[in-house]
Amino acid sequence: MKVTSRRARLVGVLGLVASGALALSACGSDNTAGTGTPSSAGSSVGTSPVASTCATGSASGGGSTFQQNIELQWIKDYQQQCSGATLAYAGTGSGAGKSSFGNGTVDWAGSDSDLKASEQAAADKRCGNGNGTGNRAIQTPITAGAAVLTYNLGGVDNLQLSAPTIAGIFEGKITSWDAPQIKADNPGVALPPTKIVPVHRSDKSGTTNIFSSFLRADAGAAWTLGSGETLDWPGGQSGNGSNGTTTAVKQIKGGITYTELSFAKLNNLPFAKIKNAAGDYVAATGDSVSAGLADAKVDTTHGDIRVVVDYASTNPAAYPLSAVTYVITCNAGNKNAALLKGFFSYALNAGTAVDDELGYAPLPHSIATAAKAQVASIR
Amino acid sequence: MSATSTSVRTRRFADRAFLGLTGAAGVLVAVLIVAIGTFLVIQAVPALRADTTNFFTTKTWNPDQSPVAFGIAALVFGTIVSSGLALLMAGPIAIGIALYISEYAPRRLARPLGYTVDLLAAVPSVVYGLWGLNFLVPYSSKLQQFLADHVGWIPLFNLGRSGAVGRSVFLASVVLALMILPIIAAISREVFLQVPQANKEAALALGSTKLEMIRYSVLPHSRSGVTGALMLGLGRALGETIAVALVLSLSYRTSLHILDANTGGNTIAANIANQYQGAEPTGQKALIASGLVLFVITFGVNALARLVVSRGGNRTAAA
Amino acid sequence: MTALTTRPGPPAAASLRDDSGRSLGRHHHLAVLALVVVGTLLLFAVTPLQGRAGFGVVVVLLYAAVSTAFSFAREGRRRAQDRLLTLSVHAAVLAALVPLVAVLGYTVNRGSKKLSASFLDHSLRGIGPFDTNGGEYHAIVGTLEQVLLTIVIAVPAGLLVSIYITEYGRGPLAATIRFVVDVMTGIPSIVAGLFIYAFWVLGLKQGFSGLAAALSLAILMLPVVVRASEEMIRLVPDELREASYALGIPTYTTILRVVLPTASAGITTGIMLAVARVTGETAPLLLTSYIAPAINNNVFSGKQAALPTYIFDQAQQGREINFDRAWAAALTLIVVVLVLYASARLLTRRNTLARR
Repeated sequence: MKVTSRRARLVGVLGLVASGALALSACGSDNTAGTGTPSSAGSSVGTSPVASTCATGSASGGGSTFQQNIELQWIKDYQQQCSGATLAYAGTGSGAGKSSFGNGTVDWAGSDSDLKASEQAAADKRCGNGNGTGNRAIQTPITAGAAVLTYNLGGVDNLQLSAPTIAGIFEGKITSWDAPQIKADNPGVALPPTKIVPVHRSDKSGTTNIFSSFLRADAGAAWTLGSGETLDWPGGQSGNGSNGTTTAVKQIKGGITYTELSFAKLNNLPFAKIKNAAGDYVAATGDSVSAGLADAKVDTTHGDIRVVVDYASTNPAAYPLSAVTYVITCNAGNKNAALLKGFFSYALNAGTAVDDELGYAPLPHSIATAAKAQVASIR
Repeated sequence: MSATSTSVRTRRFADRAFLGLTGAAGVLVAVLIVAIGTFLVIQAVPALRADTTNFFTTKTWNPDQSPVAFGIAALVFGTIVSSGLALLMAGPIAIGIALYISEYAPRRLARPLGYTVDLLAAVPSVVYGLWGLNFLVPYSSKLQQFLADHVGWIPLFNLGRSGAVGRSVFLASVVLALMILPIIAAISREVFLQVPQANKEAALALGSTKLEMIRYSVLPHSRSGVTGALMLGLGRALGETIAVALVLSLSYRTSLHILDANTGGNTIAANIANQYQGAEPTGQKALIASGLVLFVITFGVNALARLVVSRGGNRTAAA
Repeated sequence: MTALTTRPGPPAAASLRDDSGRSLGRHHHLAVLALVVVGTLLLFAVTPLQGRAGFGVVVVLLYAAVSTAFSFAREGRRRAQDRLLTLSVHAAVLAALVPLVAVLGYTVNRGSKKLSASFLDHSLRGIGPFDTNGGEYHAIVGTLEQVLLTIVIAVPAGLLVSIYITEYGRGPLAATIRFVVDVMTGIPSIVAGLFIYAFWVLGLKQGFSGLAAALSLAILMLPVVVRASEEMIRLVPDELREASYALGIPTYTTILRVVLPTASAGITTGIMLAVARVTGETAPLLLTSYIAPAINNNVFSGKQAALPTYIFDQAQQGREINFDRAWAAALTLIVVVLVLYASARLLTRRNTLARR
């Protein structure tokens, strides 16, 4: 009899737990608007005009952390207007985004760097290429932005850096903040003798690609590591994703890293003015990024829109680390084409209203027009 | 009460059916594991073939570039160093606390203390990693700097030319040590509590001090069980992914400068978690190959533990 | 009764004469402590050593040294060694408990900051980069569903296998199965996740899902269930079985109606402990159900959030609000694990087969 009552009690408890779980599953809400207090910056951002096409369905993207913050903002605003849409974006790095797209685990990839031959082949295959269709993966520019050098050096927030100095720092040749090269870039600024701790990305990063391409073009012989999504760093600490590097810099006195502007803003970290090819130290703003992209050429040889940035532009107002970031989809055969089209056209049109607040820049006009046309053609 | 022949046949059939069911389950599970192993090996081989460098001695990890070059030297080094350090730090302390609970603590304290240790053993590892990242990294830099400054004449604690403290192998080892400490302590406590009271009392009756009683009655009896506990803790540390991924600055360098965050380090598990999404097919297969190596290492440690425990004739619930 | 080991026994009679019979006074602890603290203060004033943590460490070390020295001088070698061990053991307890309780305390303290009904009831859907609202509801749902599915997959299979090994298996098949289960206990969690990722998510093109997560967790949980139930079933006295057979009850009925109910409390304990362990696994989830901001009630398809991956994702983002969310989720997870663990322990008390 004792056995039965013990078992009955156990069954009772388990039943209670199960019914509690079921009840729980009915009472949660996805409607996060109006819960807690969004920061004032958040609530003022994104009351964008309504001109977007509302589609339903769900889609998830992943990849570039460069565009991560504006993607999240777009998703928030688009979902507020189009309640039938469920979107998600995970900042995993441009390389991971392209691989995930090739694997079929995301519906679109965010990337700052072009699809390599092997990545293009995998992505095309995912789109159905070779299965009786000629579908391909295409890159569509979605926004422009600035990669900044953000640092943690208490008391110094007006740092200026030139490309050879930056190269020296990240190659481990300049080890202290009061080194002569940095002093030369910052005449009259009191620099402490703190050790420099350069932080780079540990994952395949489009931001690393932008950063290293800039150094390759502008730093001359001081930069020996080439360009690419991963480099053979001789030293320095690493962080996973732009969040990882920025957090690391926040925690390390004397730390410096390269990341997209919005991360510096979100973490209240200062970022340096960079010397462009015309010899001027320029801060990253919407205007200086537009100036930096004014000389950019468009490469349509792959059947999509790829922007070749001139990091050595002699435009005096240009911010040299300006970049364009893409979304990668199939040109046809997308599972939720209507949702993707609606979301991306929102991003290219009304979504540009949040650029300033977050730290991005609008695409050059001709590129934006071409991008909108390409999005409209996605099937 | 005699059963009719039909119901006897039904019973025999049901018996055989049940035997078949359980046997099938057993066979299925066995086949499943073999299948898992085979699948992983089949996946790993093409990557190993494509590798242009020695898999065991190469430090870099570039399976998706040409030429394909990747190796587990840095990964295995980091795995063994961080887990070994964690065991060195956690082992003696865990045995100490287990001894305290079984031999020194007043009875009213021993029970709740035992429960606390058990509870801590159940805390998920991601919480330790989160604590390490949020609390240890900013606040331990002073301690790490102290070690570097004052004990730096030992090459292990030297910072090297351009070193900086912070997210170093040492810190990762500390987090791992925190994580495995409760597990080792809980199992050791069980082992110590199983020493026959008579042995202990006999030693005390002969006039031995507590140390001598522990040394001659408790420890010999529990040697194999405690070794099993230590190996179990080591196994957990070897396979730990998240705590290391959160707290360590990942790189592919091998260095004895464990305090240096600029050198960083890596473990097999953290590398898999970091790279799996960005990996192209060859990269995925390379990660599987490294996972197999980790499996072999942990299996070896577990097998050794079981051997030691069974030789000692101790019945401990090594999970 | 276990005989005393063949190792050298307690010290020979000659050294018993070391015991001079004198002992240190009852308050010698305080005297030594005062001496040591004063000495350390002086030391810190004179040398470049500094810092509160450093002070504490030096005090402890000096106390150990001085106290042992005093004891050696007054009481003899044996008692001095004994005092040193006592000191070491107490120091170990401090060294162990202080950081571990700090972790728990920090979790409760920081976690309760953000934990509220609103946090428990909402997801992260549509949370912008500047926003501080949102909650963990989707992660709780995900964890519950995935763990339930894991139990459904692993427990019946595990029970059947353990029944076979203990009740039926006598030959090489049972030994092979036992060996294979042993091998399975050693699978690192990341490798289990990697297998499901390579085979199920990518290979069979099923994509990320809660089901994939449950499969990987089942790989980890199955051997634990088998081992725990095997032990418990073995503890059932043979007399019960023989009595059952003597009454003419067939084997399968004996197992189902006699053996299993007797071992049920122990088996349930083992299962709950396994569930507690598996609930906190992060690495396999990262590779199988990944992360998602919105509620996904369908455990069979689509990325699904879970508490451990929620914590990991927020921790990686690294800002104040992210750590707040992560700690609140950590507190939730620890509470869930604690409840499971405590229930398992409560059941152990009623387990008539428990060894202790």
